[in-house]
Amino acid sequence: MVELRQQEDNVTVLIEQWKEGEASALGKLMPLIYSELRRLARAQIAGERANHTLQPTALVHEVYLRLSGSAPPPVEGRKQFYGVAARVMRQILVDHARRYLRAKRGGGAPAVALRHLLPGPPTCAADLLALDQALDRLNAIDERKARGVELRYFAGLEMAEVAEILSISVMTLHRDLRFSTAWLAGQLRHRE
Amino acid sequence: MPDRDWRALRILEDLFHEAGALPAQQRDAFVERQPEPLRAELSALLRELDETGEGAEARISEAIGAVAEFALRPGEWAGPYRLIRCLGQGGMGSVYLATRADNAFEKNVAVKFVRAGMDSPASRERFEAERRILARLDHPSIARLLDAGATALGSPYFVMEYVESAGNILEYCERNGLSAAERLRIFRDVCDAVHYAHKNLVIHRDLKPGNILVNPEGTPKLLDFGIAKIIDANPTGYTQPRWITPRYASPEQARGDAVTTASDIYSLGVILTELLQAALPLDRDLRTIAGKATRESHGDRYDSAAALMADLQAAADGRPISARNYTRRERAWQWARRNRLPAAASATAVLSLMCGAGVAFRSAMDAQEARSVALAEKRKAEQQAARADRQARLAQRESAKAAAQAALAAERERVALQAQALADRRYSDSSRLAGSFVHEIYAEVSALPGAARASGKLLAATIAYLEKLASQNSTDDTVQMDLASAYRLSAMLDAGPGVRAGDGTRALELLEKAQAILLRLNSRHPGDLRTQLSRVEITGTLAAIRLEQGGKADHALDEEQRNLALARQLAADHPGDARARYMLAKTLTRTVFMALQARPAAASEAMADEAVRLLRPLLESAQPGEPEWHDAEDVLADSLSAQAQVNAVQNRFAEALRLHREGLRLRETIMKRYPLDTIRRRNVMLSHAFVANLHNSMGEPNHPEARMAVERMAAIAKELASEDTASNGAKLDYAMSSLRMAAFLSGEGNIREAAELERESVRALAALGAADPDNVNYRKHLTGALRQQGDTLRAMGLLPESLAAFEWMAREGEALTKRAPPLYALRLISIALSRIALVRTRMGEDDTARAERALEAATRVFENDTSPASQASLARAMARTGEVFALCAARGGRPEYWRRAAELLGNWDEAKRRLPGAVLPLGLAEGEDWDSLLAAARQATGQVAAKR
Repeated sequence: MVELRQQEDNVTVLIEQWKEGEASALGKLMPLIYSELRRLARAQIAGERANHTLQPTALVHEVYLRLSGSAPPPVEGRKQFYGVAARVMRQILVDHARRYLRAKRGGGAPAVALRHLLPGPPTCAADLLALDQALDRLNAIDERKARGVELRYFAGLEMAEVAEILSISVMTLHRDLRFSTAWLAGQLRHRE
Repeated sequence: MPDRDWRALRILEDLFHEAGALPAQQRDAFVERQPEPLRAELSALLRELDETGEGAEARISEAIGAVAEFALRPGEWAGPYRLIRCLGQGGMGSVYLATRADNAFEKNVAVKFVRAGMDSPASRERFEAERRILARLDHPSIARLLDAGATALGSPYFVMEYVESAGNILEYCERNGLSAAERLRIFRDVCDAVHYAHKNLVIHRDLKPGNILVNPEGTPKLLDFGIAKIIDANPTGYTQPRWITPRYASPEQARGDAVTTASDIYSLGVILTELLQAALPLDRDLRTIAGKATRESHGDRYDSAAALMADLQAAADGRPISARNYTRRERAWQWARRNRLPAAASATAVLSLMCGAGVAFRSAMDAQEARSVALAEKRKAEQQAARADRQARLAQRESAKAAAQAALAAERERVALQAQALADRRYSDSSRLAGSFVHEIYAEVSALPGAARASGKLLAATIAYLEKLASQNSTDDTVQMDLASAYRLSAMLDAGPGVRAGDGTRALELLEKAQAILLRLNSRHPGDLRTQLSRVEITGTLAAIRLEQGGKADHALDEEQRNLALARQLAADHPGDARARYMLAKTLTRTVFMALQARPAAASEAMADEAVRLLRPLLESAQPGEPEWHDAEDVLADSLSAQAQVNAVQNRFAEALRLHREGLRLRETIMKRYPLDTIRRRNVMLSHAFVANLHNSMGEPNHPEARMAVERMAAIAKELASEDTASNGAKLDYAMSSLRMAAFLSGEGNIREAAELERESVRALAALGAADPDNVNYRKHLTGALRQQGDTLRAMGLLPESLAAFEWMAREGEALTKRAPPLYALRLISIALSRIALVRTRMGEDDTARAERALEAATRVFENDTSPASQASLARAMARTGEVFALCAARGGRPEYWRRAAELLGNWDEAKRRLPGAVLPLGLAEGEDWDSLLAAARQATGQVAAKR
């Protein structure tokens, strides 16, 4: 219990250092929250889908690369850090979808670059981009709702965790999500 | 706007939940009741809910999950490799330990991800082509490239043979305490591998210890062969891979020119030096070999790694090496360039730093006291002639020089600005080379007259750049080291008296930053000698500036003494290392200079001797003209000056003069090699001043050697001031040397000319002080100038003017009590008070009370500093106070005045006998010497004594 507590303090201190520009703090932070991020990643990529062979390490690594390559975002503590990680995960997936579509459009790309791109359903990539844009619009109107979607679906956090991060009750979160997903789904349906 | 949207959304949301809670058959009626456009929006939203109410959530999570699945499937992420753990993360990307996931065979590999993207078809093709070539390299000392690919997100990765590492080549050799021969054996394997790759037309491009691992069997393994090219190949020209380590990069890489096999040879040469340096002092052959490998021009290096290897073998076998015909000078330059201590770029600073005009010209003031009747009579005739002659010569020289100098100054300014423009361009290219680059440019620019502004800008740009770099990558020690170094250079520019003569506040800030970085690096690499030596250098410079700045003189001296203990320890721990001995000698020298300023009695001759003893063999083992020892020569000259000054403080003038002459000869030799170097020329000027001062102290102020010294001193000071009109330091030096010249002229009896020079100097110093009111140094020097001016005016019989100068001096002294070392201020106040008392007495007042206060102050100084010089000062203060009493008594003052006068002058007389040498007999007051005053006093008090 004490150890956990200390670890939690450690994480908070490291986040603080990273925020203040101590780039090495991120390197120390990652191992500490590695399992946590893996869990997020696993939640995100597994979902209820059949194929469970996805590799959370990859996503965690990608998150690290993203975070280390840019200026630290304004994070206050542990909870917010997961919010940032969720945002980054969203960005990674969106980038991927974009790259995928570009590769498809470009055509005739040399084997080495496309060698590892599976023929994924192009519609889901397009869906994701549309979703990303709709989420931006939702964010402009009601930030809490957009963050809820990000944390719950992009980062795969539990309802209780999302509620805690957003400082709302689980009931409220439930209502929020029910509405925002319907709203987003409507936006997707009505895109040209 | 968003606010209105937000409210509309809330209304919609409330209706949505309300409708959602209704049984399905009532929903339509509910929707129908709403006004448009709410009705349509609500209806669309409700359509997204299926009978369970979860339809929309499922759709969203599916849209995300589908992409996630194909984006992050391991097979797509790094081909058939399963990542096990991260081995390291660095500037280039990160490396993972991985295994093949297809179970073809269990084998560990290293997968290296890099951040570069591969977006264009051309870059992908080149990548593939290079990959095929690299995969062909098969050598026991090259980690094989097994595969390469790109992640689904487009990051390239490389799959390499996993090397079980017992450390990189330097670590391995250190850790296992390998002998030089064993180190050379490993290094020859490295050369062999590089040669093999070169034969296959593959250049490494980023050879450095971190890329050369040694496995537990002791076989070196080179990593990342050719990878720099794959990642960074940019056919459009200038490329500067940002992860390339400047320390190991060849000059052509630094410039962004074409990279050849010779670039790898260069890196090998640097690594060789580092590898052997830790094991032993490089013998001549090995230094020659490393020098040839690291020559500036790639055409002059070894033709191949095999040729380098052959020479190493020859050296090991004691056979003649091929690199012998390589000129020493170039070789040494390379060596020095690569082995520079990061802090040593302006190593000439010991004397210069510690001789802010104060020390060197201090005795100039004593020169006033030194005017001696004995010399007065015979000198006049001959000296009038001599002066006319000198003036004629000066005028001739001046006019010839003026034109040449104007042209030269313009040229220098142009060079400096060009260098700065070049620097700006480099920084905007985001080159990692800023750190090493600045040393070279700085070394060239900072020494140029007229370059104060350009080099300041240059350093400011570098620091801004390095700070940015450091904040992005605080774990990169090279950047940190370069930053510390740039801070120090910038500090020297601010505080270095030859350049700008700030008061040191900014310099202190910068040095403290540098110190913090070095402490951090030191704790990260506790055994790293280079870091520790830099720390010693910076701590010492800090202490010196703190002392120079005034305030806690004792504290600064203590700090430097602790620093000296560290330097001593380092030299003891690395008995074979020339750098450690050099730094010890430098620290000893600085300690002596600091002691001379803070507590002259504590200045240790033994320390100065030790510094000289350490340096002489260093210089003797090197060939004359080898630039790596130019710094050491400067420090030797400094330590000779230190020795001389300790001797002077102890009143051993002949010995002091001998040492000063030797130091001066050495400095002049150095100056000839660097005719433009301002700091070195300034050091020559200071040495001339010391020589002239000694002749004063020896009672022969107009000795021919003194005359020559004063003339040269004045000429150099003038030259430096006219070359760089933006330099306050040069202005200060010029003012101070004018004062010194004035003292000399007074000694020749040319009081009028002296007074003119003094007036100008006082004006210049007051102006400098007014422009920088917080600068204690200007005030200190101003007090000295006022004292000298007051004395001259008094000698000319201009008593009210003289009094004004002394009163100004007293005010400055009072103002200094809080900011300068207390003894220093007290000494000034004592001197000012006794002179005010004397002048007022001459003007007819009874100012004996003030004279007593002056004596009290001098006594308190003596209580804290019992050096012979301080004893002499006290004795002079007694004599002056006695003189005041005698003058008042002679005018018919109180009878007891005679007693007091006899007592004080008697003390002075006794001190004169007790103290050897010439400090004392120089005193005289307006043609009446203190001896006759004493006689008068004794007579008057009825104590006519024939004391010895």
